[in-house]
Amino acid sequence: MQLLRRTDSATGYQAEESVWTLLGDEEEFSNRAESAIAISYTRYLAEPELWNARSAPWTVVIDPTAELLDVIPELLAREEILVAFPAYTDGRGYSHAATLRQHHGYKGGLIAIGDIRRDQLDFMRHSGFTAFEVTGNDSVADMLTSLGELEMPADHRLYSGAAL
Amino acid sequence: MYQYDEHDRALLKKRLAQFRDQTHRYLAGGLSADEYKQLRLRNGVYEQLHAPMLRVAIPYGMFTSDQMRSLAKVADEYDRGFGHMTTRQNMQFNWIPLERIPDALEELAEFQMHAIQTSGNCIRNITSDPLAGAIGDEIEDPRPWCELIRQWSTFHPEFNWLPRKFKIAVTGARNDRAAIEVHDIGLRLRHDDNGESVFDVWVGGGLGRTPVVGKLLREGLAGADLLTYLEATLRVYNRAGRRDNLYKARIKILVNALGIDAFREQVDAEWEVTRKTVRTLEGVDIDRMRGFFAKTLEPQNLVAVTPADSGQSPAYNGWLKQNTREHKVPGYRVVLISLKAALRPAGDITSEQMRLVADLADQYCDGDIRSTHDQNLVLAHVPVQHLKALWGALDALELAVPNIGTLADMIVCPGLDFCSLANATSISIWDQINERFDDLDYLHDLGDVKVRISGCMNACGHHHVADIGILGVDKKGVEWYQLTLGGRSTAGARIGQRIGPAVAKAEVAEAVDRILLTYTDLREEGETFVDTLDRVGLEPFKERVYAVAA
Ligand code: SF4
Repeated sequence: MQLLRRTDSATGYQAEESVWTLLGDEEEFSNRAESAIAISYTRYLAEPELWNARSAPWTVVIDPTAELLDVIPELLAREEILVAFPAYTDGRGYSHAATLRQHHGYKGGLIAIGDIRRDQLDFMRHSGFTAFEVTGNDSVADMLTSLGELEMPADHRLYSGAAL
Repeated sequence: MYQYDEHDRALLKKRLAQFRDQTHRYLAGGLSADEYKQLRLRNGVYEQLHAPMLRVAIPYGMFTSDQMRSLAKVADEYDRGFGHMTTRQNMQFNWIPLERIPDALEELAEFQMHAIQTSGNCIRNITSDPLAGAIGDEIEDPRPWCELIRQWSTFHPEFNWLPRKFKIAVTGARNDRAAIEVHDIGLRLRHDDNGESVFDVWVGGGLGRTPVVGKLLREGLAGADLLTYLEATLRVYNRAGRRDNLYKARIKILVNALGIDAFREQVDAEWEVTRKTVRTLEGVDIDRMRGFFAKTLEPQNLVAVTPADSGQSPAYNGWLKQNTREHKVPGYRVVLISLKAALRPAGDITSEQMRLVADLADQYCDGDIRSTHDQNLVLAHVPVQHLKALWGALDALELAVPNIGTLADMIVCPGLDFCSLANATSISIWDQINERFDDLDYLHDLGDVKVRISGCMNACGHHHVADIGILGVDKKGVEWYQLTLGGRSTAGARIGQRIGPAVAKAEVAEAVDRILLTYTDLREEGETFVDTLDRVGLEPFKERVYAVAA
């Protein structure tokens, strides 16, 4: 999976290959024991001890129906969390990002994956996402063009987009 | 009136450039029709039967003479010389070619106008009381709060892809002219015992296929917490609102499914979070905003005009009585401009009329113009000595028909003539009723009887909350009309009841006539239509409507 990730550099974003391998809910994982894997939050909740004990990198994918008001500390200890957008018109992922950031004070990376479109990147960025899946819908160059189209001064009063 | 600062202007420019690029990509084949649809909707562009429709936002129904002139320019240069006022206080254009829309928007942007979030599943334009700041029953001017909500909701990153559209209305008066109980969120601004500004928050009202009156979510919300509380409510809806069925996606369905108490619990849990993370409004925020709307009118030492002013023509007196209202400051009157002249579809306004209204607003009202939920316009502060001249000028362009608040002041949706969702025409029914009831004396005698017409179940004509609601239905390719009685959108809102089987297209005015005759026969001194209906029940109306023609 290719990502466009925010950096500290002046250009702001950079394309890179993600370390994460997505593991389906039914998929065996033993043969990939050492790779960095991302499992669904549901799968995690079914056997939390198993995953908590894992020494190789792992994280979860938050899907739209996830309940995040009471999450477990292990989730918040992840360096990055993936949030799924099965359809770009489904806006639940934005609220999940806001909940992780605002409610839980999550400071790690938030990666938007799935049906990602260049015209939504600013809204995602303002909701707290730090990286976006490059899906082939749009080229990296186009994604970079769209990022920042609606940039606002950080202190601009009430426009919520400026809050982040 | 709120004045954009450099950031507002910059943001509007950026959005325009973005939309121009999106339209360009679509026309060049780089963006699919489906994806472009979602983007154009959020910029106020619909696909209608004949051409795209552009819906321009008029935030809380308030605009200026310059803005009106720029709308007139767009009507002339991009459309066919007219625009249409909507029930949400916006203006629509029906004939602008898609590729020219970005240019039209650029014209409007010069005058701080736009079409952002006037459609799509996001927070729509905020609506409010068109008589704000002018009328005596006002507790507090709602417009500064509306502007705060406008800024908060514009491009709110979290709420651009809600399950469905979301409409917020605010009133600050004792009489609700903003229909807050039939909105997704309705806000009633009032003062608590200490004189502090607080809001009663209603949630889950709405019309459409499932008409519901809103429920009281919270009483006495502190003004400082307005945005933290809205954010919490919207977040609960964004997460839990249904997305599997378009017709069950509005917040009213969620509120009904959970029950208002469980819904409130969820909002309160979320509010614990948003109170800490969303900006609490400070005194300076609201004071600064109030500064934009404050208006000092010197009381005029004139004999207050009374509707029966002697020595004036009956036509002028009729207009004064029907189309003007008492102003809170002596020596001024609130003037309603009727867009229901029967010559054009209800709510339509020509560019010539727009320019006239703009000029009159400059001359007599400091350039201040309002649009109303009933698809009319308002000049809110007219010194009484200018009323006669104003009347003469309005009358010359058919803008002074003394029918405000009468049966002829109908809300009529565009219907089959324009709308691709329609089952039946609305405008033909408006014509039919106008032809039948052309006697102004009779209309004045009937008093405030609201007739509203929708061309399909989506209820854009708000027929559910009319004394007489008319809904177009399609039966095997033939237009029929269903009638409902006794709806109301003011405080204590209620949904009209169906009177019986739908009537044929040619019979609608006859049926309305029979309903009105039943009312005038049975009404007791001082009773409104709803009073009489409540006292005698539906039956007498039903009997008369469905009696075989004598
Ligand atoms: S009520 Fe129906 S016909 Fe009328 S404008 Fe709305 S969607 Fe169109």
